[in-house]
Formats: sequence, structure tokens, C-alpha cells
Amino acid sequence: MREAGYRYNQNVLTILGYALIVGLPLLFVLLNANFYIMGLDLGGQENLLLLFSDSLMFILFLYPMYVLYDKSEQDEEVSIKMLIGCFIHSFGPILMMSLLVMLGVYVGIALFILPGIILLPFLFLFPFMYESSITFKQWVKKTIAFHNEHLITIWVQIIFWGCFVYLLWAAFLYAASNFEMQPIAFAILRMVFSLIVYPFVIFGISGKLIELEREDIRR
Amino acid sequence: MKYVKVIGILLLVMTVLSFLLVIIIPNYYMHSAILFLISYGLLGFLVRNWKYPYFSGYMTACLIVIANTIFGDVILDIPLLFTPDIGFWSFIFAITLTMLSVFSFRKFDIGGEAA
Repeated sequence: MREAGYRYNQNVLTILGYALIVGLPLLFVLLNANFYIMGLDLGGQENLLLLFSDSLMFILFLYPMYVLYDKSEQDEEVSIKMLIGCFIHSFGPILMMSLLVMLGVYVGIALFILPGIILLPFLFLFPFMYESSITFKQWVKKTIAFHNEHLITIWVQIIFWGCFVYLLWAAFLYAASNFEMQPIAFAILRMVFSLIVYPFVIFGISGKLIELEREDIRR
Repeated sequence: MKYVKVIGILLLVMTVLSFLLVIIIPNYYMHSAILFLISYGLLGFLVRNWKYPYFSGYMTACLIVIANTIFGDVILDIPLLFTPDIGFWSFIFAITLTMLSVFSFRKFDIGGEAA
């Protein structure tokens, strides 16, 4: 966490630029999609869509920040242009993969819940394991091998950072509950919160994952 | 993965441009026509120097049309999927435009290095 904070402080301008140019429109579209989906009636399936678009806010935002952390740890300079390029090139594969995993989770929950829960961490693991010139097969193989190797650590990371974001968001909402909250104010509050906190969370997780990968290579 | 990357780029361009063009062009038909031209022209540009450019352009255009139709039908509740007329014409226009743009980008070598 200290390392993540240090790197965040080091790259704060790049992060801000990326958040304003890419993150803000992305969250804007997805939050509006959320408000639209809330009004739909698809017989219960709209809740799944809601969950999916909620997680997409984190997943689609993720890969360039991971690249930024990786590069800044090796003392390389990263420009905003490169981050945007990363985002554009990783958008399709990550969107498709998360759609597939979400379908798997949907089917898995229908099959007595447990398979769905087993599949869930892959939703957050796949974007971290993405590389610019990787084939589909290699990507899946690498991710499954990594997941089997470090199952407990991954779950601990997910639970820890989930609690972190949840508690912070609760405090934010409590502080903002003094004011009257229209849906649009809620959306703006959530956007600002996400754009500030998500890079930090991603830095924390990617620091841990890079450490684990290095340990694997040493063996 | 190359195909998925191109589809992702096109989806991004379509989403961003459709929001931006609304401000500039108030006419609905002009808006969709220009969006169509730009996005499928870009598709032809992106696949122009692959190993099988025409086939790749054809398949990717088909996939994008299917994805758009399913999205419109399921989420936006616009009956596109089982309307033969609309399906037929969107496929025809998308594929023709992609073929034309691949052909012209290769023929006149715009953007360079067309094999």
C-alpha cells in the first residue's frame, strides 16, 4: 500500500490526465447506461446487466493503469498518449473476455451457485494478465495457471480492496448525506470518487500481482 | 485477437462519434449516414494490409452489424433483429462500404504500405 501510494504521488498528473480524457467519458456513458437499465423490465435479468455495467467501470479503466505502474516501477517515462493507445487497443479483448466470463458466472450461478463464485475472480484477473501481443489461448492458459497457483492471495486481495472501497464509499456517502441528493448529484459524486480512488486500488493490486509473478519466474 | 482489437476500436469510435456528431449535425439521417461512412471506412483502413484483407473486412463488418442489431433489439427495445428489410440493408451497406474502402485504400495506397 505504501509503494502504491508512492507511485500514485509520483504519477499524479498522468493519472489525472488519463482520468479526465478517458475515465470521465467512460464513466459518464456507463453511469447513464446504469440509469437506463434501472428502468428496464427484463424479468430480473436487468439486475445482472446492472452488476455487469458496474464492474465494467473498473475493468475497462484498469489495463492502462497497470501498464503505468509497471513502467514507473522500472523508472520508465509514460505519456498520456501511450496510455490512451493502451486503452484503445485493449478495449475490445477485455470487453469480450469480461462478457464471456460474465456469461459463465450467470450459467455457474444457475448450476448451484458454487461454479459461479469460483469463476468470479477471473473477471478481475483477466485484464491484469493481458498483454499487447498475446493470443487468446495463451491468455486463458496464463490466467488459469496464475489463478491456481495463488488462489488464496487473490481472494484475500479481492476481499481486502473490496472492503477498502466499500468503507470509503460509505464514509463519502455519509459526508454527502447532509445535502439533498438528486440522482445526477449522486452520479457526479460517484464519478469523482471512482476517478480518484480506482487508480490507487489498481496500483495496490498490480504491485502485489507483479511481486507474485516475479516470484514465479525466480522459481 | 487482432479481429477483436479492431472490433473494439470500431465500437469505441462509433460510441464517441455518435455522441459528438449529435451536437454538430442535428439531422438524424445525415448523422447516421456520416457515422456509417466514417466507421466502416475506418474498418477498411485498419484491415487493408492484413493477409486476407477482403475476407477480414467482410467478417468484421458482419460481426459488428450483428452486435449492433442484438444490442438494439435486446437492450434498447428497437425491433431490428427479426425485421428482414432492415437486416438486409444494413448488411448490404456495411459490407459494400467496407469492401469499397479496402479496395480504395489498397488501390490508391492511402496511408502507405499496402501490400
